[in-house]
Amino acid sequence: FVFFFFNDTATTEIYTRSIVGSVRCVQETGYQRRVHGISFMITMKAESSPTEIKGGFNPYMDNGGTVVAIAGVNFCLVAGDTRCSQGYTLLSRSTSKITQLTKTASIASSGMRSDISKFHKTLLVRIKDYEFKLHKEPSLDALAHLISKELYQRRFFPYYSFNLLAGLDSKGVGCVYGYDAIGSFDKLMYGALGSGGQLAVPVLDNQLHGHNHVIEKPCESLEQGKNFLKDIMNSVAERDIYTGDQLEIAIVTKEGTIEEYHPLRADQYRNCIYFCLLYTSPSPRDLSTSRMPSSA
Amino acid sequence: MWRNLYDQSCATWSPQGRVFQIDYAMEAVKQGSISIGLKSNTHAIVVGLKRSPHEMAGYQEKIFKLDDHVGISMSGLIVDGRLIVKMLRNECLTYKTLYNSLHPIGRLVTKLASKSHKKTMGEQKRPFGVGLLIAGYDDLGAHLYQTCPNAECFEYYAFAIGAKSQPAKTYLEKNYKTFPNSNVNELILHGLKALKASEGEIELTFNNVSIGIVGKEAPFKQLSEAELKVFLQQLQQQEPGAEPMEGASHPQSQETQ
Repeated sequence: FVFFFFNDTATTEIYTRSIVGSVRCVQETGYQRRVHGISFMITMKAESSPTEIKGGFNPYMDNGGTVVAIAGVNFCLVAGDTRCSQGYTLLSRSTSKITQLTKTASIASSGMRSDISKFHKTLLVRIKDYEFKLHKEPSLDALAHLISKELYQRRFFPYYSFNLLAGLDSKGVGCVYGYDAIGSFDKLMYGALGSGGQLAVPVLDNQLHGHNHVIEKPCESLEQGKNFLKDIMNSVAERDIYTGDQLEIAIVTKEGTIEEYHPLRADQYRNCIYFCLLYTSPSPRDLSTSRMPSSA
Repeated sequence: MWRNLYDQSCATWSPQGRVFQIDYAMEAVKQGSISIGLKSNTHAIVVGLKRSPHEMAGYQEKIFKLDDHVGISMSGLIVDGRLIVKMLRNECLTYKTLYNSLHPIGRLVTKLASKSHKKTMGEQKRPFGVGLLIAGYDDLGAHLYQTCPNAECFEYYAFAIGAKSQPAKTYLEKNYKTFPNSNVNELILHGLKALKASEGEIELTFNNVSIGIVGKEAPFKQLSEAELKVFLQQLQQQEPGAEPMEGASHPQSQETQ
């Protein structure tokens, strides 16, 4: 794999963690094995590299944030925070991670802001093309495959974009599709990706899947699903410094898509330090994202 | 006669200063079925009469959407037209992706004119054999443009191209001064009356008539079967003949204005 030029171990960790985070959301063992393989190869390459060239070509950056999606019986919810950061610097508090693709499908992505923006625009162009040629909107299944193919087109210089597709299938049942950076995907009942994804997944597993429950069924009530999402994202924002500011939820029903906004933890320190996340994280367990043992 | 000596390719001028190949291409447009376009201050519409090759066949589509704010009707070689539609759709999409706004229509038309012109300057290439009526709405208001194979483009208040377009043009000339303040329903009726003036012998049904409208806060769309039927019924009720609307004889128009 010639395309990863990681010299900075911190960057490698972030990228690897993101890949591993997305693996947990992929439920099928076949895909899981394949994606695991890629993430291992990345870490091995970085560690075993004998000569570390200082100052190489490092095109990727993680702008942080978390996206979560839940499939319901006749609705689908997809949510993302609106914080955009770079290292400890806050770049923006109001950048949307969600793009509406069709009347009943939206995509939410976390990763590198510029790659996400380009990727979403590319998808919108493909969908417009589809609509011109076939005189109808693409179905969710068609979209799911389209996204996978578009990501794979960039197999040798991937979009740093970790995506969740949420919408209604042709029967009107909610569906979530989770992707890794190069297009492996699977149909899910729920998904969580991004810097806080690993914090959200165990809660989702517990509440929606149930301990040792074999039968997977979509979430029954829209209100319940929405409140649950708000709770999860609030919890994630408490522990992940890259998630916060505002929660954007896209609610997909057969009537279309509505967006709602709810406030999240803002991390403003006395109106003086407005752009820095350094003194904000109360997560003593996660040493790489906190610096102060006890903080605000 | 003499004419045949100078019409072998686009690269040949005649002694009278004409390039015959381009003139012949303009004739191709006149062979196509009629397209009519008209606009008000808030909307622009195109009306097309569709042809069918055989009673067992369907009808050839002539009206195409380019983007939310612009659509066209074509007359002439429809296959050339489809190539143009593909190119213009791509232009609109690229512009939207790059600049996050709708392609200004005047600029779109000049892009098409440039492309058409390239086709008129070579030995090997032939000009496009299709004329377009482009209806759109952008920041500067409603627009109606006409393009031809000779790469000229003009903006009109109302126009008609294709076979038997002269009676339609005559109707439009008589009435175009009332168009700017008309509402969209009146505009559609005017378009249908202009069509009737040209093609009065053919029965106008929802099968062979297509109407595209675009306007302020109204993305380009073709009228559905149900909507078309309503207007065609109104057209029939306002018979006899294709008379211009006068205030006294048409109480309907008094109410709407």
